[in-house]
Amino acid sequence: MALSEKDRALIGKESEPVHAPDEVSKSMIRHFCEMMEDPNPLFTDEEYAKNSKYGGIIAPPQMLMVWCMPRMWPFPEFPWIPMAELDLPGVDTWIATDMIHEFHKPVRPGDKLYYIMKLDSVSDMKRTRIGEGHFITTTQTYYNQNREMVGREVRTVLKYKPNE
Amino acid sequence: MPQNIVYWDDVTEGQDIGSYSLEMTAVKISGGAWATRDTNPIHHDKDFAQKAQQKNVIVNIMHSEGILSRLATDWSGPEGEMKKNRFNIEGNCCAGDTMTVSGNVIRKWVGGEDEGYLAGMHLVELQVNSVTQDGPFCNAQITMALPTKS
Repeated sequence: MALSEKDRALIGKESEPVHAPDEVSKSMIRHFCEMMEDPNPLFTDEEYAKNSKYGGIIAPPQMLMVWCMPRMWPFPEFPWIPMAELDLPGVDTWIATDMIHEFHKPVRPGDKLYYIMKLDSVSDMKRTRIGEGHFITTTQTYYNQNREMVGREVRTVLKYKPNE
Repeated sequence: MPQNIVYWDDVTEGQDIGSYSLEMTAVKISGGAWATRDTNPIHHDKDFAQKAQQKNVIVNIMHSEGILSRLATDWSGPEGEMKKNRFNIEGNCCAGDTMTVSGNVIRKWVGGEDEGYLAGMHLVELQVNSVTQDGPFCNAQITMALPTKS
C-alpha cells in the first residue's frame, strides 16, 4: 500500500526544538556509570578529569539520547514533531531496527541540550518476518545551549501490524 | 589510578579487544532503564513483560548501548574518543541472563576529507558483540579516534 498524500507531504519536515528537562548533571552521569559498571575516570573522577585534555568531567557520549528523554510528571507539552503527525492507518506497534550515533563535541555538566528531528523517509507498506509495516527513518540533531551541534542520531523504526 | 593508553600506531586489524560478562539481574535491568530515563514497563514490570511475550524484564536500548560502548573505552583507555556508534538489536536479554560482551578491531585508517568531522583523525573501527547463553543479543560497530606516538 502506498502512502497517503498527507503522510507523503510530511517527509523532509523538521520538528520544533525538543528541550531536555534538566541540565546535564554529575549525579545523572554517576547513576548511568553505576548501572553500566563503567570505570572511565573522565566521567566520575574530578581530579583525573581536571588534568585531562577536557579540563573537567564530561558526560559519556553514549548518554546523548538520555538527556532529552521526556519527564513522566508533570507531563510535558510536546512540540510539533512530523513523526507524530503520520497517520499510517492499520499499524500501531513499534520496534527500533537500526541506530547510528555520531559524537561531535563533548557534553559537560551544566550543558542544556535540545534536538531537532527531521523525518527523512517513510517506506510504502512492506511485508516483514514479524508483520506488515512502514520503515521510518529520522535524524535527530542535538545542540547545546550555545547552539553548537554536539551529536546526531539516525534511527530507523518499523511501525507495523504484528502477524496474527 | 594509572590508566592504560592504546596508541593508534600499535593497533592491528583483527586484534582482540577483550571481553566481560555481566549477570543481568532485575535490579540492574530496572536500574539501567531508570538511569537512562526509559519508563517503558517492559524494563521493570515482570507481569507486563510476560504479557508482551518476554520471559522477564528486558534490558533497554540505551543501557545496551552503554554496556557495549564501555568495552571500547575499557580497551582504549580514557585517551580514546568514541566518535560514532552503529547499533543493532538482534535478540533479547532478560533478568537472569548472563550477558557476554566481546570485540575486535575490524578497520584502521586516517579519516578522509570526505568524512566530515572525522577528517584527519586516526581512527579504528571496532566490532563489538553481545550474546546471552541463548544466542545473539546486540552488536555495534564503534569508531574510535586514538592518540598517536608522534
